[in-house]
Amino acid sequence: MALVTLTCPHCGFSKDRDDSLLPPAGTRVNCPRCGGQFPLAIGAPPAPVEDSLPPLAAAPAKRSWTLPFAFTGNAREYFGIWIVNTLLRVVTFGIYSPWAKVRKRRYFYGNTLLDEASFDYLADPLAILKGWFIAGLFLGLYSFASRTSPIASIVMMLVFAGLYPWVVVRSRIFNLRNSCYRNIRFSFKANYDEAYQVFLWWPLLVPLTLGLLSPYVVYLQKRYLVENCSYGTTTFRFDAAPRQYYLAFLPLLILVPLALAALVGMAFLLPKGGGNPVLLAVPMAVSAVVYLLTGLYVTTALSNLTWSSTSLGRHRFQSMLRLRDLAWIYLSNALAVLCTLGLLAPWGAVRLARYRLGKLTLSGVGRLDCYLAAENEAMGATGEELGDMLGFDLGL
Amino acid sequence: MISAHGFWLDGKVSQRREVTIACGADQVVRVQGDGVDVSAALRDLRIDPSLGTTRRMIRFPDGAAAETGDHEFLDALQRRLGRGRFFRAVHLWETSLPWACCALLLMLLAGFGFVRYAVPFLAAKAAYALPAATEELLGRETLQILDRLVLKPSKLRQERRRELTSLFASMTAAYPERRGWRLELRSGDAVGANAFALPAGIVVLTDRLVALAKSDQEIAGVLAHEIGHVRRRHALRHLMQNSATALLVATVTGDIVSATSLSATLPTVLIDAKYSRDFEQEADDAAVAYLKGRGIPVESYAEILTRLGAEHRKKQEKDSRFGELFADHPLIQERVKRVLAKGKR
Repeated sequence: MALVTLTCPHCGFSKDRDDSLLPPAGTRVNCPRCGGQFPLAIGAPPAPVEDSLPPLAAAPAKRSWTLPFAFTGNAREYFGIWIVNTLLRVVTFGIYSPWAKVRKRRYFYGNTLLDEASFDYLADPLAILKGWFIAGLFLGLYSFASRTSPIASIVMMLVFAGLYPWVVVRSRIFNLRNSCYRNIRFSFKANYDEAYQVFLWWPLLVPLTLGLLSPYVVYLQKRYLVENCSYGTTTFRFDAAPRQYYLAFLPLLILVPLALAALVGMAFLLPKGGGNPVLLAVPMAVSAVVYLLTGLYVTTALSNLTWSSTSLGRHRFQSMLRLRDLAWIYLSNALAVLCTLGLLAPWGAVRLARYRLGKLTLSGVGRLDCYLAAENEAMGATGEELGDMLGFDLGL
Repeated sequence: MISAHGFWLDGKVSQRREVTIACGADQVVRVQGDGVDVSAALRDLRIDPSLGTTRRMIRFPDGAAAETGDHEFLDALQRRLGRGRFFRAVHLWETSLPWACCALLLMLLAGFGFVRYAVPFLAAKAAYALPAATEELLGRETLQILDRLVLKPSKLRQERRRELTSLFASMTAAYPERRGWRLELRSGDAVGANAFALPAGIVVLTDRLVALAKSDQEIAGVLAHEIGHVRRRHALRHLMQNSATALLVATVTGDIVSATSLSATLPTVLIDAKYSRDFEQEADDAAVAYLKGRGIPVESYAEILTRLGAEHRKKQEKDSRFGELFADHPLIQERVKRVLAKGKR
C-alpha cells in the first residue's frame, strides 16, 4: 500500500489516494471537482489529453447525450415477493423484517436501470436487525411514557424533536452507503451542525413568519440532502435558487390565505344554528379536492425542481413528472388498494416506480464509467430504523 | 465446465466490461474478456440470492463483482457451494403463484390466530403481572383526565351517596384483592346514564343512571357487572390488546398504505369492537352469578339494561355523530337475551 497523488489535468485539483483502491493505470477517471475526464497515470502527473476512445453505443464519449432511467420490475413478480416476505415477518413476530426489507429494496434497486446497468442495495440484514431492536426499544419507551404520564410524554417528544436531525443524517448515510451503481457505492457526509440548522433551528422560525419562510427552509433542506451526497469520490451539486422554491410553493401560499378568508366569510354568512347540511357539505368537498390537488402539485413541482437542479460531474438529472399523471396514479392506486383490502398494494408500488423512473433522465457529456470509488466504512442502522418506524420520508 | 456471459465491475471505477465467467471442476471461477483475467476459488465468493428475475452479482473478496442474468449458472454455483438454500426456497415460494396464494391464506390465518388467541392471552398475562402501584397510577390519571374533560361532581344528596358507597363496600367485601377498589359518583351530559370500570378498581357511576334505576337491586346488578370488569382487569387488558393489534396492523400495512390511513384504522376499530363484546359478556356473567347468589331476580338487571339501551338510543338520535357509528349499543338487546337465558338455568 502506498499513497499516490492524482492531479486533474483540467482544473489542477489533486488528491492523495491509496494505490490499492485504484484501477489499473490508463483507466479513464472523472475529476471529483470539475467532472473532467482523464486517463489515470500512476507515478507521473498526466499531461492534458484529448479523448481518443472508441465511441460507446449508449453513451458516446464526446457528444452530449440523454439517457432515461427505467424500471423493469413487474407486479406479478413483486406480489409474490411482497406476500411471502410479509407472511414470514408476521409469523416471526417481526424478527424477519430486516430480511424482508432488504429483499424488497433489492427488488426495486435491482430493477432500476440506467445505461443498461442496475442499481444495487447492499445493506446487511443483521445490522438492520440491531438498529430495529434499539429503535423499537426507544419507541416502546415513548409509547409507555405517553400512556402513563403527560409530563414524561412531553419530555420524550422534546427528545425526539432533538433527535430528528441526527436521525435524518444517520438514515441517509446508511441508505446511501448501501446503495450502489456499477459496484461503486454512494455516500453521505455526516455534517451534523448543518443538519441541526436546516432540520431544527430554521423550521422553528417558520411559525414566526406565518409560514412564509417554509419554501426557503425546504430549499435549504434539499440543498443539504443533495450537496452532501457523493457517488464514489464525486460529490453531487445542487444549483437551484430559493426563488424557484417560492415559485413551486406559490399555489399553496395563495390558497391558504384564501381558504382562511373563505372560512371566516362562511362563519359570518351562515344563519345562526347551522343551516342546511348539504349546503355545507358541497364547499367542504370542493375545498378538500382543491387542497389535495394543490398539495400534489407542490410535491410534484418540488420533486421535479430538486432532481432537475442536481448534477454529478458533467452529468445532470432531469425529472419531468406531470401532475395529471400522478394524480391519476395516486387516486387509482388508493382505490385499488382499498377495494382489495391491500392485495393490490404491490401493483400500486410497481406502477408508481415505473412512472417516476420513466420520467427521470440523465444527460451530459462524457462516459458514465469513469467515476472512482471512495473508501467506505460500515455504519449502524439505528437511525435508519428509527426514521422508518416514525415514518420519516426522506426521499428527494 | 460451466460458463455464462456477464459484466465485470472492479469496484474501483464505474466501468463495466463484457466478460465470460466460467467455473471448472477444480472449483475455481475465472473471469475473462476486455482486458480482465481474474480467478478466485469458488468458496471465497458470495453469490446474491435469487430475487425475481433481477440480475445478480458474484462478489469477490476484494470488492469486485461479476454481474450476470444467467440464473441457471448462478444456481449451479450455489449448489456446488452448498449455500443459499434458505433463500432459494423463499425464491421458489415467491415465484409460484399457487404457493404465493397459500402464503396469503396462511397470513390471514396467522393474523386471525394472533388477534383471537395470542393477543388476549398475552394481554391477560401482562395485566396480572403489572405492579399494583403502576395500575393505581394509571387509574388515577385516567379519572383525572375524564374529570377535566367530561365528568362533573355528583349532585346526589349526602345520604344517598353514603348508601351507594356502602352497597359497593358490601358487594366487594368477599374479595381479598379489593384494596384500592372504590366507587366514584359523577354526573355529566356527555356520558349520560352510564357506569364504567377504570384500571385499579375504580368504578364510576353517574347520577343519571342512579335516577334511571327503579330499585337498589337494579343498581346492584350494574355494580356487579362493573366489579366483574374490575376482577378480570378488563380495562388494562383492553388497553394492552388494542395497542398490540394496532402494532400488528402497522406491521402488516406499514409499507403499503401510509397515504390511506383509513384502511389501517378500520381493522383496529373492528377488532376493538369484538374485544369489548367479549369483555361485556364476561362481566354480564359475573353480574348474573352475583344476583343468583343473592336470590335477586335476574330480570331486574335485564330491565335496567333495556332501559339503558333505550336511553342511549334517544341520546344518539338527539346528537348523532359519526363517532357513534361503531358504538356497541345495538348489542344491548342481544346481551339482555343472553342474561335472561343464563338466569333461567
